[in-house]
Amino acid sequence: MNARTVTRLATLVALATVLQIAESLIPKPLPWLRLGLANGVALLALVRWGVAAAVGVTATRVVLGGLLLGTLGGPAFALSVGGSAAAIGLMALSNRWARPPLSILGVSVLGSSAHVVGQLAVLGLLSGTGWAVLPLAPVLGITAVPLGLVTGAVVLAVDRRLAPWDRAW
Amino acid sequence: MTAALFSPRGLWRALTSADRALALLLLLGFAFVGLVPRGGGAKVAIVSVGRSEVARLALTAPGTYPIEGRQGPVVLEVRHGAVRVLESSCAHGICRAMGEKNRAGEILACVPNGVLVRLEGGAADPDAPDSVSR
Repeated sequence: MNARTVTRLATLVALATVLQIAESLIPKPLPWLRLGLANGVALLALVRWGVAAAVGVTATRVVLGGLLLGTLGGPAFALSVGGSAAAIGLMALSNRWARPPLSILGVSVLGSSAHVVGQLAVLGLLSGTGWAVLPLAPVLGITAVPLGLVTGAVVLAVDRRLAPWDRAW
Repeated sequence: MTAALFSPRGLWRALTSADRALALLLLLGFAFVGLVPRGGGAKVAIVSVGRSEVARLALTAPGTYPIEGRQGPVVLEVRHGAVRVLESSCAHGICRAMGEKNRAGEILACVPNGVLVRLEGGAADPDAPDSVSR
């Protein structure tokens, strides 16, 4: 791994971590609403530099965020791991096999939806209730779709702006 | 150009037809999950912290019930045959925002505190105590 790659990934990790912490501080009209901009950084890494970069950024961000927020090893951390893993997995698959016809926006929506499903799966496993968590899916999922679009729009805008600067990265 | 992307019209134009179909499918899918028939009226709320059951609350006995979670107390309120999280020591309050639950199979969860409330139906036992704490 050369110095440029290390610098690039470190910048993305720092950005994703700051966004995760900033999101946790912003008062939300509905408590379960999360913009998911930290996942947007992972999506940007995925579309520009590949799956390995996206996984590395996400894994490091989740651990750092857990450390800084004091949730490392707890149930909230497990939810974050499960949701992020599901999001990255589905985004990587859809980016590889379904873009086109999907755009970055569509991949982002899949990622946000997978995040919800991943979190519910972890919740069902941790609590031992299994499918009993299903009633939580509609509210979380229906808000995840438009928020995924917004995150995708941010990533698309950044991706367009980054194009002439890519050599410097 | 970038500003246009963040207007509803700009966002719509940036979507491919596949994106639109996918978003609609996901919205309908999540909404459909909400329409799946659930159980009838619940009679008891089973409260657990982690995997340990700590209390059984009869939904016919109104009152407030403090539960000691991992981070602090979570106060449950039973009223009108339903249960809700009245107070919680967690930071985000997602559990409080879940509102009242009164159907068998529904759940309330405070993940940071490890508190899970599961509603079950079944015939009410007139001789059973209103609440059981362990």
